[in-house]
Amino acid sequence: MSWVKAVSVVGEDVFDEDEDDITLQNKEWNCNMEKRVKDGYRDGVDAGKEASLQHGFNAGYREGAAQMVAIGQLKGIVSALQCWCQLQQPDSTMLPPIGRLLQDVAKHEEALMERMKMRQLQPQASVGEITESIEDLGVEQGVEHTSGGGSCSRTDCCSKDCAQGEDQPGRPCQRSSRPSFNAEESLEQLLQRCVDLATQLVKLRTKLPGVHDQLTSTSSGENRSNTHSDVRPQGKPTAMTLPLLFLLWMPLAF
Amino acid sequence: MKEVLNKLHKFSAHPDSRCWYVAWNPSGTLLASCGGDRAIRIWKKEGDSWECQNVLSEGHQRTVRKVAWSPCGNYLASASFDATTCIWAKKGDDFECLTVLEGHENEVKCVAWAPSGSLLATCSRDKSVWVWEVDEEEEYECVSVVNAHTQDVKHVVWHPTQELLASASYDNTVRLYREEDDDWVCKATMEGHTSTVWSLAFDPSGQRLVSCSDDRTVKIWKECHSGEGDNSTDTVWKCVCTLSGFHGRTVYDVAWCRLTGALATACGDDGVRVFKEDENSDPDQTTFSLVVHAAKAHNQDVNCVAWHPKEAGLLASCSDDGEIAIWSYQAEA
Amino acid sequence: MLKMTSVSGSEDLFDCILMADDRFHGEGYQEGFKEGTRQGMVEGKNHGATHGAKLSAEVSFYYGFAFTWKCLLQNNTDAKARKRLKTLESLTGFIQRFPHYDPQYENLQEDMEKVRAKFRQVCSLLNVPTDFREYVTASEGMSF
Repeated sequence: MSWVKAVSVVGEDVFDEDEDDITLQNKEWNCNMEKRVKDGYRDGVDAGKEASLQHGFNAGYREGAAQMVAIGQLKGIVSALQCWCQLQQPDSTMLPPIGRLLQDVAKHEEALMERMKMRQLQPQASVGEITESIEDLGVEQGVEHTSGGGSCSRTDCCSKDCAQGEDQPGRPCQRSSRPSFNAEESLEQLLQRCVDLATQLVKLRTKLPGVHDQLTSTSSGENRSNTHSDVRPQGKPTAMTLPLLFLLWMPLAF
Repeated sequence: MKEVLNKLHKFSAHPDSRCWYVAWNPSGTLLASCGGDRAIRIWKKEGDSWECQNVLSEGHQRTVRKVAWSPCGNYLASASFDATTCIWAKKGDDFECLTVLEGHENEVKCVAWAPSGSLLATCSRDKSVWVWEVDEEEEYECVSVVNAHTQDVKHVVWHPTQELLASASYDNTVRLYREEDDDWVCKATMEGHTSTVWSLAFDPSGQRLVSCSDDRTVKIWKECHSGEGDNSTDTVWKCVCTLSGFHGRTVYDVAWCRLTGALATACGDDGVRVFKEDENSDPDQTTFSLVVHAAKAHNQDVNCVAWHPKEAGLLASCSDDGEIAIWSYQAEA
Repeated sequence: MLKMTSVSGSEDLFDCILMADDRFHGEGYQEGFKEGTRQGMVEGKNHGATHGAKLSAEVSFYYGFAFTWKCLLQNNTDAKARKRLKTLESLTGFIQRFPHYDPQYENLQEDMEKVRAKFRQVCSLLNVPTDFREYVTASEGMSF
């Protein structure tokens, strides 16, 4: 029941008495009181907003912050690898794939940010509406960075596609070789690509002691043993592999 | 006894450009100048005239805003609007660019050497102050970046004996920094000027600091030891003197003479002024008097004043008209 | 309820009007407060999410960057690398202690400036090209 209706009901209940001479006064009274309710409502909205904006902001801030940790760190990791590679070996064949990965990571980050901005543009939208708009966004964004063959597991996604593509009823699901935007899934893919590149970098580095020297100028001899021999005095497996792999799985725990 | 400021020389240093800054080397044999023509010039007195000994024009892509000699006199640092700071090594009569310090995002406004010569400070429009360390191999490494100011940082200057750094900014404040746990941190903020603080100078003992501003005033600050609340390491610097009503426009620079204790100012009204501290004035509420005013010292804004380090009363000034003037400040018999 | 017969009744009426006035205003207010609270939550949340996301993305980027460099340099023993490592550790350590995810943390802006400053020092020490620092942007214009 809306508040306006509620007012008139209340008004009738209270003032509907038999005295005719005060009917006019009653009407005026009702009108005034209705205005009072409206004023009260407006004041209430303002006060309620003021009281809750900060709470909302705080809650949203925490959520927003939590969402960006993993992708932000991944971007930092890939950037560091790129810088390191550029400084050590400016003509390395590793640079183009690292650059591409960095671009994709940045795109993914942008998409996540976009998603949050979309929410801001539609402050009144219900949760369902927000999800839909994200899906719309995901359809466009998905083309960029998901490989073909991704299965469309969500039925509502497919049916929506079908409804929109009525002129092509025969192939409803082909278009969703770009599945709806799924941040977690593609983050994992990006992470995997990062691990692959880092692993290659490690291999490359152990094969090129000269480069290693330039970069690190470690004590002599240590970097010449590029095999996984277990007679290393420090008892560490290959110098780089362990920390890097550790590093790559570490950030999500931060 | 009347004090006078006699003009000894005036020469065009950066023709068709602004001369931004002049700096005497520690022994006072050379004067370095820099300007809008992207060049640094080294001047030497030969007989009765000032001759340009070197032109360093290759180092910077844009205006060179400030130059500073290392305490040993063997190095010259130059701060430029091209976002870099060059370190020049003096090799005999020549200078060669030893290294270029990068890192500031945009215009570097000032550079200054610490008294030990092993630390260098730079500041920039990017609001940050950087402290650099020099090792034995003449390599420079950034030891700290401090984002304490909220606006363009115009000037940095070191305490004459301690590793204490002061900066002046477009945010109207002066800040002091010390090293603490491997980082440089702001230990004091001086608020009082109502517009951009353009320059700073310590007095010979380092107990006081003078600042000059776009608000047309000059302020003198003194370190005060707070009584009880000594649990904090922050120091308090209080304004003990404000020189207002003397300058017609922005005061761009101030210099405190190590030999005579006189203050010289460079002003946007084309004038150069000298102030002297009144005898027997209360150290906590000191007073200074204007003793000389060279009204038309230059044809345009005076950008900088620099007292000679060895010869008492010798003063250099430079201006937007590209000229340098050498003055003799003395008591007339 | 509405009687105008007695003298004291006019006072009653006056009180009555005031009471009704307050009551209706109060009813509307309560209704409105609920709606306002809902709107405020939604608006605040959206606004906060964008802010939190931006700041967190930036801090997390610095963390990932510094952590990776620490791994890349950690087996080096020369003085230069040790200095770099020390600065990197100071950055990662500071970020770990910095509750950037807490919008109510009182030194949020101040500490963020410290993180940015440290990151710039790190970049300088690592000889990382300047155009790389995308988060650090400045406005254009003339100044002396």
